[in-house]
Amino acid sequence: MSQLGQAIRTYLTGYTGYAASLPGGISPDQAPQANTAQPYAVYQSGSRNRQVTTSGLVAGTTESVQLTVIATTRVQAQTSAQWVAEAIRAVPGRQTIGTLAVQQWRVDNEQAQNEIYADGSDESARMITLEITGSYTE
Amino acid sequence: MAFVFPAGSSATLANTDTTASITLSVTSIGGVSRSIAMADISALTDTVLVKLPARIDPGQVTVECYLDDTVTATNHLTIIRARVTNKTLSLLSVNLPGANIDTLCVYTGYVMSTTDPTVALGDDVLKFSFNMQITA
Repeated sequence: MSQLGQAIRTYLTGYTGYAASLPGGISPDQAPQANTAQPYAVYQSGSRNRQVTTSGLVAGTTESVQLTVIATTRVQAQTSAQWVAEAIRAVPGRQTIGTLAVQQWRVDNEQAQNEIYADGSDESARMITLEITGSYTE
Repeated sequence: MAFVFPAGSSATLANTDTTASITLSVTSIGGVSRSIAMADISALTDTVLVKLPARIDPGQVTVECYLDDTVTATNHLTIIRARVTNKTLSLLSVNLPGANIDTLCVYTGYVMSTTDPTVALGDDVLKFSFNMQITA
């Protein structure tokens, strides 16, 4: 389970414009089967590195999360991904989200993809993956 | 024979005349090089340099720690900086994980210098370091 991913989800669901930007919600790994509203987002943990003292105390954890926005059009995907990036940039430093003390986070990378549905649909899924890197103390 | 790994090591810093100590958030301790100077006792008529061991230099120890977010007055960096200005004789005790080597790396001396954290963009926790001249 991605702790940073959960924190990003909690943060974004409370951020202004969430309902309009991601009406399909944010889910870990993949959206629920019943989900039909788009755009929506899914997240997965990429890597997690801990910095420890010689005595074993964890001073901080840095995690990379890939958050993918899925929409029916490229414009929708781009608009929602931009909303996510701006929300992350709005508070780049220390904050407490749930029980997690986030020290910093940022959007590192953005990549656009297109995936053709296997059901023969004319429309494809327009996707934008944001790589969000953040450090937190547990 | 069991050998020793670094994980589990800790270090405390105290005044030599009190039992109060701080436990440092150590990332590394090292640089100690104990040496003895060799005195040249050659006579002018000697064809080969004649040298004998003379005074021992106990060396210096460098400690690197994570910067803790405690109030300035009780912050470890403040405490260590004060040891420079106050010229406090300090006791650095390194507790290694080994079962039989508790007093192997215990240093008495004076903190000579501190290095403030380098603040640059990145994901590393801020660190500071200090250097101690060992006197015994």
